[in-house]
Amino acid sequence: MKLQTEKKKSHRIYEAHVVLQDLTKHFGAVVAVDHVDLTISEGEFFALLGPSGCGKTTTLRLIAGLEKPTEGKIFLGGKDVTNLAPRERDVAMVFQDYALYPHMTLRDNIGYPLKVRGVPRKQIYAKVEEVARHLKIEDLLNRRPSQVSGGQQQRAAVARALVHEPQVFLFDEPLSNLDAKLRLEARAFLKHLQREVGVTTIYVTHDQAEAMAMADRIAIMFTGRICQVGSPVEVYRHPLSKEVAAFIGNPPMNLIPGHITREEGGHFFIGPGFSISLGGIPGAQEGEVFLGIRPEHIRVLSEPHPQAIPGKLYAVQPLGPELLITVQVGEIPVSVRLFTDDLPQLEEDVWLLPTLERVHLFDPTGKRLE
Amino acid sequence: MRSARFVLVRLGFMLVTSLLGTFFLLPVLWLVTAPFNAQATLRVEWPSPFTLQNFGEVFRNTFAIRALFLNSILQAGGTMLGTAVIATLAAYALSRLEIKGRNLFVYLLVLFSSVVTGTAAMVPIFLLLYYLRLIDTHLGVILVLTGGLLPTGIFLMRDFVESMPRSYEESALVSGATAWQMFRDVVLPVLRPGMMVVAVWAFVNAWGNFLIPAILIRSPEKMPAPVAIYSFYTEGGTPVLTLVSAYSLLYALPVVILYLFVNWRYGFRFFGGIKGGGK
Amino acid sequence: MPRATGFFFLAPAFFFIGLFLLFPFIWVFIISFTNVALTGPTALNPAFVGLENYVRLFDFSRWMRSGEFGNALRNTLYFVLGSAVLGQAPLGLAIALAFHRRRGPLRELVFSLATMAWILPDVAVAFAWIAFLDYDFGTLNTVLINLGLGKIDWYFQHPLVAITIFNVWRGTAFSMLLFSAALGSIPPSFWETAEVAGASSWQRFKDVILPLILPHILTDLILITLWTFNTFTPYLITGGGPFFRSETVSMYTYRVAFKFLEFGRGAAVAVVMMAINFVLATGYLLSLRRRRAYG
Repeated sequence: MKLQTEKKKSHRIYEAHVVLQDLTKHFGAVVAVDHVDLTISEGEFFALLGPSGCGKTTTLRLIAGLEKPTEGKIFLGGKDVTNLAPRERDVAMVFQDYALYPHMTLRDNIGYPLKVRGVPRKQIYAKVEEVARHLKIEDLLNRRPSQVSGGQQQRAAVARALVHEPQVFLFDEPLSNLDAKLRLEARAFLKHLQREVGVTTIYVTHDQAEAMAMADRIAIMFTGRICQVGSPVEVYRHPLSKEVAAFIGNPPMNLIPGHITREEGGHFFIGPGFSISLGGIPGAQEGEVFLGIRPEHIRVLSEPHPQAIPGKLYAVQPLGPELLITVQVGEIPVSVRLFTDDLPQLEEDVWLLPTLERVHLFDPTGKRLE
Repeated sequence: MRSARFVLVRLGFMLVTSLLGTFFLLPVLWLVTAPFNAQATLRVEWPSPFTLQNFGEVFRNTFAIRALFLNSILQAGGTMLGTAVIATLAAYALSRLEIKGRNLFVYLLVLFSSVVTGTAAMVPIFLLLYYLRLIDTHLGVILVLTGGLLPTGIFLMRDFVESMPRSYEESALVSGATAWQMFRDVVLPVLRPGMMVVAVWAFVNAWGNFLIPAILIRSPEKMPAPVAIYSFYTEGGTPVLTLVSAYSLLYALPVVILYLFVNWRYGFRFFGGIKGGGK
Repeated sequence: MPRATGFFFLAPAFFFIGLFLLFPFIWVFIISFTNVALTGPTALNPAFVGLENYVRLFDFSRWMRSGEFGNALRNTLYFVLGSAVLGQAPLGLAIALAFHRRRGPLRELVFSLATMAWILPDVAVAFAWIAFLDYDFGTLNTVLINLGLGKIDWYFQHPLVAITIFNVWRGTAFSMLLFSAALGSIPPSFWETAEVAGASSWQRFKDVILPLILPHILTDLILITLWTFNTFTPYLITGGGPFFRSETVSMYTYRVAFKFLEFGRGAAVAVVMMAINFVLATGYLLSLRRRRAYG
């Protein structure tokens, strides 16, 4: 199913489609969104990621027009929509609870955006059929929302968003009410759909795996501020702060506190009960730091090694294709991911060898050291 | 031994509950036996001779029939509409405007309406309607009854409104609806069960209200049933049992039917909002 | 929701409540200090009489005589205590407890019958009770005779008791439904934990259920106390008689205002009535507040 936007796309391919300028929202004394600047390109799948309460949903609602900003501007397709009501913005939104009206059939639900625009009935039905067929729910159109499954409700909600061919899709954690297996299927489905339809999509989630899997670019938010914007690979490889580093990845990056000293051989990291050479890692400087290393970038040895961190085995969690072990380094629990095909011997004392190229350093405030 | 005790407890339970059931049933029995008895007494007895003539005679009394089938319906119906609509609008606004302390406010209003009703408010109500020239009008009765029922009506609607997810309204707005379209297409249909509960409750209250019409209505052709029933007395001032009982039954019937209907449809979700104790 | 629309939505309700509840509430105070009546010289030229109407009410040398305010007040005290506090509430709670978690035809039957008693129109019910209480032919006495207890002359001997029983019959359904909903909102795991820990039925009730429904008990008591205090229906059964022995404050107000058409006096009684209402309501609300302080 191709939409009008395909045509538009070729003409304005480098034009920013959604721009947030210094966007701020206060709820009384609470600053929910704190001077957010974002530029989202046309056709992009853009994720807003962060923990509960970080302001991502509020940002989405500001874009939709459901909240009025305290400061700042919002531009959609070049037009300043900051003071426009939702209905004047030509966006579509899929809510976390789908918001399918219980008293209407799926057909009437999906067709509602067209109905309020005064489109003649026959045309509405035709369009609803088309969209429903595309989402594979055309047989369910006569049913009420309570008579279909959660996955089907979700697709009906998406259909309703598609039906009036908006400029921007807004998704507010649309998969969180689905069970785990359905969620994976829905993820692939939504990503494929977005590619096909090509509409700019802004997707809010607290699930980092979801954001990584689906988005072209991710903006990570904490307490109302944007901490980092980048592609999934960028954000994974190059987190700009401790918080971002700890948020991305499952299990999250290990952060070991310690300090760096400069000695004859170069920089050394001194952690709880050990000291390792940092070689030529960029960003190494004297002082208190956090050393970050992802669980998948650690090798486990059963014998001491000058570059390895000693620890005590705390727990082993077999996960099928891989093994997750937790090792106590001093007071700090460190997670390590191992592939079962390649298992070393595991005793109580282990030595963890981090891959130096994958080590990250953060200063005490959490900022990345480069 | 345990099963014998269990049986005894069950029997005891059934005995006590049967007694309770009987307690509630007994006084009403007269209303279903006397109307069919050509020689009705104050006894509850099998009607002999069985007759429908009592009803026939009641129907011949045009004044009383108009009272029942026109005036009562008019007054109770008007009150029902007024209360349901206004209470819904108010409850919706209170909820969506997010007025702080609205729960306490409604609660206090309900208490207030319990205080300022009945005989305490009679005098000022009478004088007020007198000055508004609404004495002896259906409208006057409807207005006063509605005013008294609104606080509790709002209280009843409040739960229904609060339990409607805001995402319904928001998704309608984002879908392109104007505020009015959203209200008409989404809010009202979703609130309809609640409105029905309030409507029925208001109707039943207005239907049974004796005091307000007794004070405010002067002319016989506007009197509703609870006032008109007293015309079935003899000149000596005693009630004519055959007619009074028949009329009472007719008068009580709509309420019974409404109750059965609401119970069947909604199972009495009056107190649906009492969740998680103590709000 | 835009504030303008919101206020439009609230306006009709505020108009009605303001005009037909608030305004009478204020006006009755004013009237009570005058001698306005419906007919006669004071109808057109009511005069301000200060506290005269109140003084007449509280003339302690004669106020307990039949037909006076003190008599009505005393009757009302018995009536409210007996039928609401000691009648409707405990009975309603007992029924709710008995049928808690026990669905079935018996529950439906008892609930329906109690509810019928509550919602049938006043006048119809009044006539039914006149018949029920009749000395010679009434069903109540028939039952008593069959139980070997003999006939009781309800109207002449025990009119206050009669209307008390009537009011219990009439209003229990409300408490029953309220407590039923309250009990239903307690997660079963709460008392099941107690049961597993070894608590008896009574202990489970006292320690787990009762504290959780205490706010509802208080809410229930406020409402039924006020409603019972203000109810007028028993007048249709006994007329407040014989010789004012079953006259409550509500009936007294009616009699003064509309039998004698002395609105000023009637208003004074109404004000006292409302004052008592307020005292009761405030008392309950304060205990509710204190309860809530404990979580």
